[in-house]
Amino acid sequence: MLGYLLRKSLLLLVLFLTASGLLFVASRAALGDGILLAQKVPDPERAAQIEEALGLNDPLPIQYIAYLRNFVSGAWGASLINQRSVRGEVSQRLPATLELAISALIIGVIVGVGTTLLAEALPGTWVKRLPEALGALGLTVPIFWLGFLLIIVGAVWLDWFPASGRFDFTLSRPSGTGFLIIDSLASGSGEALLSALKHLALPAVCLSFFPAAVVSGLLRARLQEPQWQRLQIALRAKGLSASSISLKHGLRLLGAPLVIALGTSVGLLLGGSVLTETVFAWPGMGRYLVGAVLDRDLFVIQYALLLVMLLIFASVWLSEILAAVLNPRLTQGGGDED
Amino acid sequence: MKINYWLFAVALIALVGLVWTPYDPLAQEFRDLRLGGFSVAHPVGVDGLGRDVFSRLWRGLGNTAMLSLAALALNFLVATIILVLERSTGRLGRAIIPLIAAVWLGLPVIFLSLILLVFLPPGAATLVLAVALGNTPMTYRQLRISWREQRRAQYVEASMALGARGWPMFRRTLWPNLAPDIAALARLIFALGALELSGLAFLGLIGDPDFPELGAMLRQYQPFLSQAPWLVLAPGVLLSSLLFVVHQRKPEER
Repeated sequence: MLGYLLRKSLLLLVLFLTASGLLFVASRAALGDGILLAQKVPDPERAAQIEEALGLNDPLPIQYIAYLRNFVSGAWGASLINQRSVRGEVSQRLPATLELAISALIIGVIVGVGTTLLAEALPGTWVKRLPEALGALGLTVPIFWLGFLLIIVGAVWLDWFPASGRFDFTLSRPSGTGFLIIDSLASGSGEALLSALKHLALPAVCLSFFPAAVVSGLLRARLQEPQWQRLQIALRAKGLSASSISLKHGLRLLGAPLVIALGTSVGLLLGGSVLTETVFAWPGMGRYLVGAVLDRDLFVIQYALLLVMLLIFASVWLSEILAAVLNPRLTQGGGDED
Repeated sequence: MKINYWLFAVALIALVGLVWTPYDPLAQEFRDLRLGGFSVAHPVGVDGLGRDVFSRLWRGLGNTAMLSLAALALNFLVATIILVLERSTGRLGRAIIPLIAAVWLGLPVIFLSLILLVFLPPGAATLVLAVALGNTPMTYRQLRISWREQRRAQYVEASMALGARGWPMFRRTLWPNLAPDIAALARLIFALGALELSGLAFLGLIGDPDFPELGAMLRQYQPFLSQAPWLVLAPGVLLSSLLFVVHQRKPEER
């Protein structure tokens, strides 16, 4: 167990160093003569002074360490485009993305587990094909297009949900954590809660396809294991109905695979949220990052992108540790060998 | 080996779209028919800038398919090089390269692409590079597993005992058994690549907003979502159908 923990923690550290190293090299490569060109009247002497003051002439390893130190201490600088503090922007946008991702995760787990167990409980009907269809959908339908489909149906035709944004701008927005659902619950305003939920509905459903497909795939693999098949035969011999077998006993198999599925989903969710946020004009991290990459807004990229990647690595790490606690057999495999 | 006629037909259609379309997909020839003009001449109408949508879709299909194919080729090339490096550098390579792959696999494709786009210019070539490199560890791992399985198989030992070596042995003994695995892997990587590539194009990272690529078209047609939903529906349907055909397997392959 300790060895497993150590191995996974080492991987987490190496991932973080790799990501930050890549970001560092990329932004140095992108900078080029940026300092010189950013001046209204390009003056090489002044540019050299600024570069010196910013520490850009230090040896690269020292600059890299300074970058990591700044990241850890939260000194993330400001956007080159609009001078807004990166930290301030992130503190506003990260809750929006997390709210979207967590809602999608919840919907996805319910849909993934639900369809898979339903398919087990009702063999021989069209329901049986649902989990397969879910998996196929993930590999054939682009998620951003799915978002447009949801907008056309849910917002344009039915007019039930707003097509974009996060909150109705005519209402007063509850403040606090930045998670609008929690904030409106805390403020006790039903109208605000309804508005937040309505805005959240379409993007969350759109993004939920990733976790739904991952969860249903893992659960399906688990249900096809011979041990479970034998247990199922025994339970059926005991006289239990198919639905009670899959709902009561099938769910117990979920533990470890579900936790791992959730961990891996975080990467997919945050990656997918980049696309979903663009479709639904959701004011989150994804859109911020894409905008920063298009504008070559270096500090935003260096710090905000690293933060998102660290979040992904950390959640995978956490889920792997949790899964090992739930199922200690996982720690005995030879690690990453095949 | 049987020919998959559907795949063949789609490849042919995409190829034609690259060199010939009914109208120039970039020319704004039909401004008076904007957001309408359904007729035999314009089966999918005319877009907001007066361009024939059918031609744009056709060229877009060709571009998306070709770029994804390029990404697939580059992806397999890099993965194979890594595999060969691992085989030929002895113990050190065998210890380090799988570790690098494990770390690489942990980096989500879309964020890896964003890092590349920080210093490379937005454009089709950058997207191909980003998508190919993003999926490389997956290909490498899968190729490694297939290779190991086959290499240890008894019929391989048997033909080696009979004196088979080098290329003839690969061609006659290994390849027929590796091919189905590799074909399945290629389909998967192609589909993932096409989705990621059009996703990045949709984000505007392909550079030229008018470039007829299915994802970039979706981005350009987003403002017409309520007035002309078909403009947004069509590119997605086309991309999904392409990937559906790529995934279609003959029953005996399952």
